[in-house]
Amino acid sequence: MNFLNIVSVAFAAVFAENIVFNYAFGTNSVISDSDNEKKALGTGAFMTVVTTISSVLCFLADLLLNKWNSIEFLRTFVFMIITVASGLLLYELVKRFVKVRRREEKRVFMRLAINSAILGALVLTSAKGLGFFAAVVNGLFSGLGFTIAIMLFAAIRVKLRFCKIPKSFEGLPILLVTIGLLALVFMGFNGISFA
Amino acid sequence: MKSKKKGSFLRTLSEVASLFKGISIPSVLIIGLCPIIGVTTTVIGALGLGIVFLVVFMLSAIIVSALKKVLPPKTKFIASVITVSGITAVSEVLLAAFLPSFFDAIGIYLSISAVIGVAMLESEHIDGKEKSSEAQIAALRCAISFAVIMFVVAVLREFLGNGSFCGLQILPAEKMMQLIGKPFGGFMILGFLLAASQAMKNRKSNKKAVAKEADSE
Repeated sequence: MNFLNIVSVAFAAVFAENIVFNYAFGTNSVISDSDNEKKALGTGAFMTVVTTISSVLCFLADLLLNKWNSIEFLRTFVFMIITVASGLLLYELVKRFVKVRRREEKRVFMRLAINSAILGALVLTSAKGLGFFAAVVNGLFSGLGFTIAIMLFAAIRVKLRFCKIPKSFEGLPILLVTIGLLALVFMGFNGISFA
Repeated sequence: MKSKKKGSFLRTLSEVASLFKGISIPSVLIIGLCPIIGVTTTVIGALGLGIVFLVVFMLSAIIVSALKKVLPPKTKFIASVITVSGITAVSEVLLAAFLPSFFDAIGIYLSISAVIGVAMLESEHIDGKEKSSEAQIAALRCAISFAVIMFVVAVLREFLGNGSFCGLQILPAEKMMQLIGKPFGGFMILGFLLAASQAMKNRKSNKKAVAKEADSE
């Protein structure tokens, strides 16, 4: 796989096939964890690291499942367990370097690990049948695409606080319309390829 | 006789409506937003996933609430992950064997429904309940509201985007807004539906406030 192919995979993962705006993966997290920019950045960073670690493990699991000819049916089960294991691994790593309030933080980590963005990115990577390096790049940049999406949304939410919104659109409706408009913006990247 | 019939019908309706009391529709909607946007391009897909999710989720809720009594609280989360993903895997096998075209149509979102199931089981609505029977009723309510939301959104999206209902062509597809079939359309339809329901609620509460004021005067 040459350099342009890798760039194409990365560009597709971040813009042309952004997991949030193209497949609606992780939209629940984008809405509930974008109250402020710091929280949004933390969520994005967590997703990026977990997706990257999980994509390495899932590539290996995919190889094994392909060997046993049972990929279609065990994929969800195996990928979900890998995702949770990656989340726990990251929690243990973070715990070594940062002082965490154990019970609360562990719950937050687990809640974030069970996310449609991570599982969706992994299943998509597996369905594309990419090689090892491309799969890892796809996982990493899918996470970055999620981070860009949640940061964009958090920034818009800050602006929305100072806007006069019609009463019936207050709360969730205006957030959904905002994500819809962002999805329309990202549709402009469809079809761009470097390969 | 007629009024009796009408009365009983209204009573049944209110009984059905009371089933959903205590379930916050926005929170179910936020948890299940991904399949709601992804699958609702066709009514059949949405209805199918809704039914499959209902079955998978209810089975998982029953098994998890039974396991709760046996397992230590620390392992409850892992148990619910393994249970939901295992039952979803079984449902994938069955769908691939008996309804392959339907399985291909919803494919990836069936896997995602496992995540939604775990998130719903861990949510306050179900996890907060002490009795297992209460938790199962809450789970049933959540799954039904999820399926109903998907059905309503799918009816609107299929008609506005493709001019059809359940695959039956009503208006020519070329003259419809095909952008509604994209995620953009899903978010917009959902946003406007919620806004309409909030507007209706606001109008009702305004009317009540006006009536109260008139009474006090």
